[in-house]
Amino acid sequence: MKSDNMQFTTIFQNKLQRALRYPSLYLHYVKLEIAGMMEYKLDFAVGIFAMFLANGVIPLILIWVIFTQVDSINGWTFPQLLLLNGLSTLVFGVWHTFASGGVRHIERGIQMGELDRVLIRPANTLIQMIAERFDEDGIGDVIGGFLKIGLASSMLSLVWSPYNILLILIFVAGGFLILFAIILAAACLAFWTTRVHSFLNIITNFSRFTEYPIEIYHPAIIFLLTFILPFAFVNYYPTQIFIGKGMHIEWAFYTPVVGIILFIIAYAIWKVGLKSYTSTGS
Amino acid sequence: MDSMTNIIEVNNLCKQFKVQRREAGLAKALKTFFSQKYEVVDAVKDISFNIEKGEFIGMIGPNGAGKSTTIKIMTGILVPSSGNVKVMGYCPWDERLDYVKNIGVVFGQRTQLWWDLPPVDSFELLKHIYDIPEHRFKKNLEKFSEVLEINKLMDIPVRKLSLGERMRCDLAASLLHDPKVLFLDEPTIGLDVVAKEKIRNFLKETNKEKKTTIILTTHDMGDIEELCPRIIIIDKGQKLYDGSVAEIKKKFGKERMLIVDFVESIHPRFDWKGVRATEIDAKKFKFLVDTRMAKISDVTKRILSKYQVHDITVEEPDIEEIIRDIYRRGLRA
Amino acid sequence: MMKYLAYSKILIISEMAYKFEFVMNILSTIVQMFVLFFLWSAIFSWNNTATIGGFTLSEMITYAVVGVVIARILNTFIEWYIEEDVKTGNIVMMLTKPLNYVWYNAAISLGEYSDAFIRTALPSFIICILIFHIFVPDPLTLILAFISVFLGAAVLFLISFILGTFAFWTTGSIWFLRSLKQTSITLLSGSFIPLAFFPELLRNIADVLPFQTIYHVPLSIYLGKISGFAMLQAFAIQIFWIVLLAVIATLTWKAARRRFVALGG
Repeated sequence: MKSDNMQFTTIFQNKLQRALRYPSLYLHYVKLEIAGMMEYKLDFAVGIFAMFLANGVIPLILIWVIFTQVDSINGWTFPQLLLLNGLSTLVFGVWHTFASGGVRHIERGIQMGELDRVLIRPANTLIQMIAERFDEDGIGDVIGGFLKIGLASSMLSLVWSPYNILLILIFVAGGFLILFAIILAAACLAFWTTRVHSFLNIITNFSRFTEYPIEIYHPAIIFLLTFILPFAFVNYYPTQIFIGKGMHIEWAFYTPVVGIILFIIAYAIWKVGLKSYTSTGS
Repeated sequence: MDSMTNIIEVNNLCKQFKVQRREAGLAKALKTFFSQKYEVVDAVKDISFNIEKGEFIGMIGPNGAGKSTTIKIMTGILVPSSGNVKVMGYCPWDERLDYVKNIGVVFGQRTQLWWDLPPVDSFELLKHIYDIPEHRFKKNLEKFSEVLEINKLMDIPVRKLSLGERMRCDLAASLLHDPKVLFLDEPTIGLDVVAKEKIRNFLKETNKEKKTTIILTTHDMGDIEELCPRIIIIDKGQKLYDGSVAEIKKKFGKERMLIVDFVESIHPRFDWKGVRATEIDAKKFKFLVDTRMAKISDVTKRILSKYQVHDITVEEPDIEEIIRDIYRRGLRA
Repeated sequence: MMKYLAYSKILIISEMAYKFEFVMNILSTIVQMFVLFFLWSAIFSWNNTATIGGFTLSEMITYAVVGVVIARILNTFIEWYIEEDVKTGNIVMMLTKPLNYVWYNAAISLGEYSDAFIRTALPSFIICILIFHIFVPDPLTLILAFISVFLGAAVLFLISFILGTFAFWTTGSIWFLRSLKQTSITLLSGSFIPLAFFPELLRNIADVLPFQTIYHVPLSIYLGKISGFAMLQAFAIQIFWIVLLAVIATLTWKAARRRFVALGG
């Protein structure tokens, strides 16, 4: 039984304690998913390989083909572009693996009343949703990203010093939060309207602008990608640190900041959405 | 009733829903794209009741009566329009994370288990989510597997289980963490007699041994008669009755049934006050006697004096009839 | 014949109800096109050349954008449908109806293509003209290009159908096969980059595979890159692949059916 007078600090302690459990909880879901997949080892490997091909190898070849005809795109050489593209693939791969399945499922969960299932359990609803839909296929994207980055690095003689590794980890984490936040916020529309699915597709399509250096776009688009739907912080601004050139190189360090702020906003929207869900039932 | 022993308090609960009006036809559908018409529906209208620790309550009512809505509110997944609920001192929807640790829920129509996983994996996950200590988890799992006979089902993906098998696993899952209150929403729906029996026994045992407070919504009178000393009847969002089954039979069971096997086939005219006669076949008749207007003994005497009788049985009022009657006519003393 | 078209019609009508999705699809397409538009504009302007690989900027943009339009039409899931039919056992219904399963699926594809054409491709195409000022050929060439798209669509359908029949041997493989198909198309059909850009080895491989009939041929006809006798040759190649794939499709279907019946249905 709860006591009626709780100090603020104890509440905070409780929340912290709870939060610390989540990584291991998520890991348990992952273990289960992988264990389940191990029964279908072939499916497991094939899924990853297919993603690796589709998002890693093929785009690599296509970009290479373009560069057989030209030397650079807006001053970006082949390896530089490859690095940019590879970072995008990597972060999207992480997103794909850990969270995109759950977030994309939100609309269905709301309509089918599946949110009831997670509400009934003593754990954060969002974490439950994304943990349940861990998608190992995304690992193929991640590997594809590494391939592109690796190739680009060797061509650029880019050394992966501990500092650089730390940097890229921060960028990937920040970029992941940005993706998570934007697409989560979009998915939350499902609490109030339908057919959010196609809207999510537009947002995702829009993010693909960042596969190429954003300088080539109309200023309005650059503005959109930087300040409204800050996908540019996922790979464009960070990449500049490693190749030493571009617009506003210092902005790369804003990536984790942008990620955290956006995520707080998106999470707040999620909470509001949940409130609406529990008021209107399913 | 001492409020210290009330584990559940529901006061003046009200819930209204806004239901969208969909119009048929393409042109009308386009119109609704721009302006939507809403209708306000009273799902729950001022319901109040208290439940003590260890009670086993049955909640019955026709479809759409408001039972499920009430349960959803009590489990914290739905916020009421007005009124308050206290379960174990918690407000279910305000203190969800803390509250939910102490309850178990089974929704008859939807499984709480993970669809693609075998039950054993679902249980494992629940162990982590509810933070159940290993030894307690093992003990409970062993006990449930035995009583509910789910040992053989442990490794089969839930989606491949039959309804009865799945329900038993769901039941086990809901009690792994030793909740103090268990909510069951239509748990026996669609199950065969054997499955129902197993589940009822399990629930009875759980309630008796662990003193788990159990709230059960159901359509099945058998559940009620076997399990619930106290029932709450809900219809059209309102509480119609709150009391024991025995009392309801006494108060409202004004009809007794006489089944008479005659020696010879007869074509009688039974024109007696308070008696409704229906033919089962030429030699068998059913007499519904309104005990307010006629005495059983009198009716029996009259039959015996006029006809040769093979066998007479007197039957208790049918609880289902009674309840249906209450739905139809509301409460009347 | 009419009974198959009935299936096509049902599909179109059932999809017409979703207005919002319609707008979203168009927007989504336009976004894709803008990426390509800017990409090629940048490439051309930076390198300060009039042509790359024999394409002017206007031609390149037209190529890329019309490629997206065609991609919108050719969104097909026939492999999934077949797998679904097998998984659910619905295939039994199909076998007991007086239907040819190949034509049945062809009709469904036709319905989907037509629906996508009317709802997404055509509006997108018109918008392209307005926004990107793409090159539009004379009516005759336009019609010929359209026919070529249709032939390419038939090739795509047949490939998908053949892959779909693999569901009779192993379910779950469909996903991988479809991925393979998609990646092959992305790489070798000239959907994104004209085959003219490709180095010799890749070009030679692409030329002998059916994928190039889906994008490269119609787009080349549209842009007037091949005309006269070369165009006739291209049509001939498309028809060749259709015939060859149709034969293979019939054979694999027969084998699949035999296997299905042998396994007891």
